[in-house]
Amino acid sequence: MLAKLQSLDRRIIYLVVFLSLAVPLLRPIGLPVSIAEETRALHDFIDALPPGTPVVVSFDTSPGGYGELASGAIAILNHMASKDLRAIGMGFFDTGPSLLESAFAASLYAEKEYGVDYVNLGYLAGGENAIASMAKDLLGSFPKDFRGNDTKSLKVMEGITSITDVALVVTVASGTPGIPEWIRQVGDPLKVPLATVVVAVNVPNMTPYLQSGQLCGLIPSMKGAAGYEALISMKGLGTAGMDAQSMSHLAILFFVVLGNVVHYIGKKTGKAGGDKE
Amino acid sequence: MNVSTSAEVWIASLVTIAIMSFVYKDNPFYRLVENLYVGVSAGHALVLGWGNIRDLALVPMVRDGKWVLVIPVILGLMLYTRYFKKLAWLSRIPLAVMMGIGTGLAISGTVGSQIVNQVRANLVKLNTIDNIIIVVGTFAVLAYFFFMAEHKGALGVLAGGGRYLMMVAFGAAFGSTVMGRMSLFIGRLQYLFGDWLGLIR
Amino acid sequence: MRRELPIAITFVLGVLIILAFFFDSPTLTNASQSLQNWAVIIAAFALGIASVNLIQVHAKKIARGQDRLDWLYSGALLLGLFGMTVIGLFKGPADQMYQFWFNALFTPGQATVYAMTGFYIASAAFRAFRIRNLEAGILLVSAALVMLGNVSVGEALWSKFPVIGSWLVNVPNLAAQRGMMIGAGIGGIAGGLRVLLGIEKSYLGSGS
Repeated sequence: MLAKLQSLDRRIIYLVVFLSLAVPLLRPIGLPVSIAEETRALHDFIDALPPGTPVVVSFDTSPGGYGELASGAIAILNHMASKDLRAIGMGFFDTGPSLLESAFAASLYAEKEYGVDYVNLGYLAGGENAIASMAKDLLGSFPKDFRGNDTKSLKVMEGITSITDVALVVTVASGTPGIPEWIRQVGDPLKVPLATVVVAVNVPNMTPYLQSGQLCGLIPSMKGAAGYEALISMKGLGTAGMDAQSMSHLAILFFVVLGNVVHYIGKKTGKAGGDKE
Repeated sequence: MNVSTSAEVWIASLVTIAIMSFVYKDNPFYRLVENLYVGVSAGHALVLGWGNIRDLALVPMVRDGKWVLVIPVILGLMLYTRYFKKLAWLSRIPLAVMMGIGTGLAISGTVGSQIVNQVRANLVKLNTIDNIIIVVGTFAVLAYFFFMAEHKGALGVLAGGGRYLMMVAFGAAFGSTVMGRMSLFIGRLQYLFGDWLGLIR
Repeated sequence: MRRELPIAITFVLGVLIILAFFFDSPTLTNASQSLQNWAVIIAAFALGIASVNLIQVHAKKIARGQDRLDWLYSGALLLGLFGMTVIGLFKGPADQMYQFWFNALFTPGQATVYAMTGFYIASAAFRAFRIRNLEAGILLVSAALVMLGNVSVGEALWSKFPVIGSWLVNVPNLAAQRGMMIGAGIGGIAGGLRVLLGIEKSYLGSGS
């Protein structure tokens, strides 16, 4: 038995994890969703903005990271659209603008008018330098939008010549450039409020920025998305995924405990092993 | 069950299954799809790069007479001298330009955002246990990275505390990472079960 | 000359950007802004390098034609590369056909590759996450509490799990992250200065 567990086929682990994810998706349990303080802070910030206020939504992510961020990004776009806020989209990952097109299409902005209520300004190359360059000359950095329109001629851009003309920047971020770069080049020097929809792996790194006020809010991965969906009363992919999160977390914890028990018994009986992948 | 009739959804679902098949065993279907998407990603970068060159350099040069922009265009082209042995050293010049600007920006931004503002945010009243942990803990972690004196006595105790505190942080990072990885997989399953097969809404 | 000139350029431009950041001078600001615009253009050119490398490697593989499957894989890669480039250059990246292939191939391809790491983290949890000493024990307990605090089932098991998980992230983790952030910030500045002063020059590559 011990030997079998020590050399447990990795595919059995994979199967258990797969089932812990798939079954709750197909047969939801409907466990309650909790709302994090920093998610509520972002919701309240956006909720207090008057209609027509411009908000930048920067898609600084690739499809790899976006799988985790889609639900949060769509929730925030839905909230902005329901408040009639102007969405100024852009991206500092080359994949950002294409993902943003899909996000707009999946959100309530799809029912609004492109160029009037929302815009996708496209991509600017160069990472942190590109963010700094955009911060100094927004219109000069994006003379054309992603769809090839003359940016200055779009109604949605009325009154916006600089990044300081927007009320908030939300970066949907999974890597570099991401939150630290936005804070260094925009948030701190220009005093523009910053918030983020962020991948879970980066959530612990964000706490110093939240406590210092350099970030005004945060949607942490799918958990944050589910909380945000609850706040705006629009259930979406985040809420739907939380049961699967619960079960898969239990599965992983089970494997951690099992691994330690096997290791401990193996050590006691002098049959160490089983550390191979 | 309401199976999708969209070609995009069908192709995307087959791509998803092909990549997933790797966990069982490496196979030609996986390899084919992997190569295809790597090619698409490279092509995509090329297209978006061209968009920036056209809108920010070529159009302003030709339409507005901003011929000074010929300098970054030449520098950009110089990146490709790396493919010619005798001229390869020239590609270092645009790299040096980007490195100088990038380093300058990072240094100037870091001073305020990562150091001054973080030190300032740490100046909290020591009236709660949480605040004491935050203030002393920050010093403890900094002490761990302070290598100009031997970690003995008070410094040793402080650095040891910093080490344990970092373990808490790494644990928190692992715990969060699990949520992230599961979210990614849930996203793909939601696509397969929802967008493709129509089993969930 | 071949190494000294780039080092001198890096130094001059880096110092100029730093001076423009800290001193309020219109001349410096304008120069810094122009340089940053130039860097965007150069970075845009750099985006093509990956494609050139891929074309070189895979065209060679096809030309060699040793293995039929290799030929197929490289062909698929080049098809994806040229296909997207042609559609993108002629119709633009927002075009429906372009978005179709982006959403049908690129998005699911990369998203699934990343999603597979979920399996690997489970395998690692079983095989490598062992309590071998006090540090590993702290790490594991912290991870378990944060995990239980992150999901609804944790709250269902014990209402205090979310409170503890959130406290761990917002207090001890915050202290550790801040210490590391300040340390990394100082290290980053030191590293940056090494680049500007030409002590660190690995970015220039090897050779004379």
